[in-house]
Amino acid sequence: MMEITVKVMGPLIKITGESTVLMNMPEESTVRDLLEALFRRFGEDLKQEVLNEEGTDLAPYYKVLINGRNTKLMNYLETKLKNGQIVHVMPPIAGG
Amino acid sequence: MFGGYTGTWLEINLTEGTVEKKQLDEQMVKDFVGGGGFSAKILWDETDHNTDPLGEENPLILMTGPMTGTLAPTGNSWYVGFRSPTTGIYGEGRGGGYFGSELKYAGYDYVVIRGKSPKPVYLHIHNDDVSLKDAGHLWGQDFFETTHTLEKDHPKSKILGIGPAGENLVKSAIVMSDLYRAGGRGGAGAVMGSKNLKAVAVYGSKDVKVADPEGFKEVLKEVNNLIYQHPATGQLLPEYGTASLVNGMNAFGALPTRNHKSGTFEGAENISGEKMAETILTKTRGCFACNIKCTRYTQVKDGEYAGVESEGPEYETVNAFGSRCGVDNLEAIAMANMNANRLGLDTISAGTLMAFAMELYEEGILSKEECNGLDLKFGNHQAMNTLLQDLAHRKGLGDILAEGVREAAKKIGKGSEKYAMHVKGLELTATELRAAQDSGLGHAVANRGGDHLRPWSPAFTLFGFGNEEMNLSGTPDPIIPDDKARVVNEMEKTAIFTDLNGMCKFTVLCNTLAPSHLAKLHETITGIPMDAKQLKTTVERVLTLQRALNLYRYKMSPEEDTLPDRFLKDPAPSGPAEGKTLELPIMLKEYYEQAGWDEKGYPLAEKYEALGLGFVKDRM
Ligand code: SF4
Repeated sequence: MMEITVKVMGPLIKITGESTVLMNMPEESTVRDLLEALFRRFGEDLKQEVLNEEGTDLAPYYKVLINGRNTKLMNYLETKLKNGQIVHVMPPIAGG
Repeated sequence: MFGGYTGTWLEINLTEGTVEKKQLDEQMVKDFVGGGGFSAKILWDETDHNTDPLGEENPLILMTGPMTGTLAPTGNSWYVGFRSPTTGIYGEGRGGGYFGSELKYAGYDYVVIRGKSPKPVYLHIHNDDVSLKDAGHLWGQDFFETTHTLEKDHPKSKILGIGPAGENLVKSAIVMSDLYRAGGRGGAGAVMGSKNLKAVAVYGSKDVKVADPEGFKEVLKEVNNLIYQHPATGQLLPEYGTASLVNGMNAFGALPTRNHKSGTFEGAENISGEKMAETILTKTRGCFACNIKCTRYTQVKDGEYAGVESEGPEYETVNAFGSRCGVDNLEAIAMANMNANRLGLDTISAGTLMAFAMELYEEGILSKEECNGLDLKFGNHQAMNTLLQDLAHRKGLGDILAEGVREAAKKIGKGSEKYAMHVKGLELTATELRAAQDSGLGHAVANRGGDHLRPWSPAFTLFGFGNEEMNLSGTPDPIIPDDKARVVNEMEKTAIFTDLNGMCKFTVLCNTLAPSHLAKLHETITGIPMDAKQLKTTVERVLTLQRALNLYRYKMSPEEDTLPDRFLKDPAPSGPAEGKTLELPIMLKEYYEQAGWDEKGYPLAEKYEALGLGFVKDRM
């Protein structure tokens, strides 16, 4: 098993109840597997917030980062995770 | 006269105590629009490297733009232009609130303030009545007190002015308006203080006319819809303000921490927008004609900092007094924010100065005694708040820091230069540049020095806000230099155009509005033909003149388009950019090429000609 530290922010904290969540995932798990596991643990509300209306992709401007890198620069949701990584599930954020 | 302009400006000579009303020059309007365009031309005509920034000969130019005071979204900006005492080059700044619109309603597009008053005065403007009044009773007051005093004497007036930092010629002193609005990084407040001008109180009851009211209404409908529908301007900024960036920037390893040593802060959650919403946030607010309303109002109800209340702190300030100083106490940051507003200090530069001093203390370069007896280690928020007061009042170490981080490092010596985070003398801002290479380029080429707003490109490169018209799409890789010159070049067009017109940059920061929308707003308001292409030429003209001003009038070397070695030589110690440095030369080369400059960074002679800046050639 791998231990993945998931960090959420903004409106997601209200759903998960905490900003840092530890997840144990089987070896070879992908980002998609991790998201599904999170949805199983925290329910439909999280899924509706994070995925688009069709449930096929992340909602617009949502991002998943692995160790600070946007997974879109890797294999996106099919990127394989490694033990000890930090995964951010990031809602749209603006400022400057 | 064109729509959007009043057609009149004020020339104030403080040495003589005179006030003159003058007609707006139509060619200036067509060529330079307003804001930093006008300022650059006036400074080009009147100043050079012999101009003492704190001498009588440095004009302080208080500008607006054609959209200030109209119903254009966020049409509320005032600007200051000056030769910066901090950097020695072009200085400018923007503030929002209500002051800018009021100046237009009083009948003036801008005010040029010259000379030096023999005693403290303030400028009072009530429509056609314009006079200088004694400010002896205001001198020494903080900006909140000054505002309340002047509001009593001149009800309904909007107040702009300086705090003790400006009076004391502190180089990070800023000009404030409407209690909490600030503009003029690079010492605009010190320039105002050097003139013995404490404040401007303005009240007006005239209109700002729009050239094509029907057309304007149509465009307004379109742009307001875009603003409401865009996630950044329609939902995120109104709901969360800018401080939600703290967690986001930290995730990307882009949150400057402990004087920019790294980009990840272990205490980020404690100073995040989420935490603020849970604890000290009491209400949200907006400037005149703003349909975004990003402003937070905070109050500390109990504990060590009970009683603190102010607008803000926004992201830049949270970072400056927070992670950059290793401070994870939001209430202490709120205190520093409120006091910076009262003292009239630029929170960004003040935070950089505190962080610089903290690193020198931890490195053993400054002793406790040299730090005014403070145990100035990173994270000591009480010491930080004390040193902030000392900075504004030039006490001990504060007096050294008051010269700006570049000069302070020179004075302290002992290798402290390498800890001075600035570009061209202006202190750095709230982006860890190795984790967002584009922002490194933006900071390096900004005409006023270390500036994050020309443009705030991480909105695209980190947070993914693209724009089809601007050819910004897909997911750029923020830690490599590829294509970043084009991104900066593209985004600076809209950023600077808002700054010429009187809009707040938040309408374009996340690429909500594109050049075509801004052009239509400009055209219907002023009646001057404008399309996306002409907009780009106009911005290029202004930026090129500001560049020429720096190069030829102020003798800046283009080699100053650089960044501290911390970014160029020290690999990032953590985060996604771990092991990487900033690849500035590659980006600079591309940026110069795209701008029509030679490989050293000098605009080509034909570029000046093509932009209608032929007059620059005589001075090259
Ligand atoms: S977006 Fe914020 S800073 Fe800009 S005008 Fe609106 S309230 Fe003021």
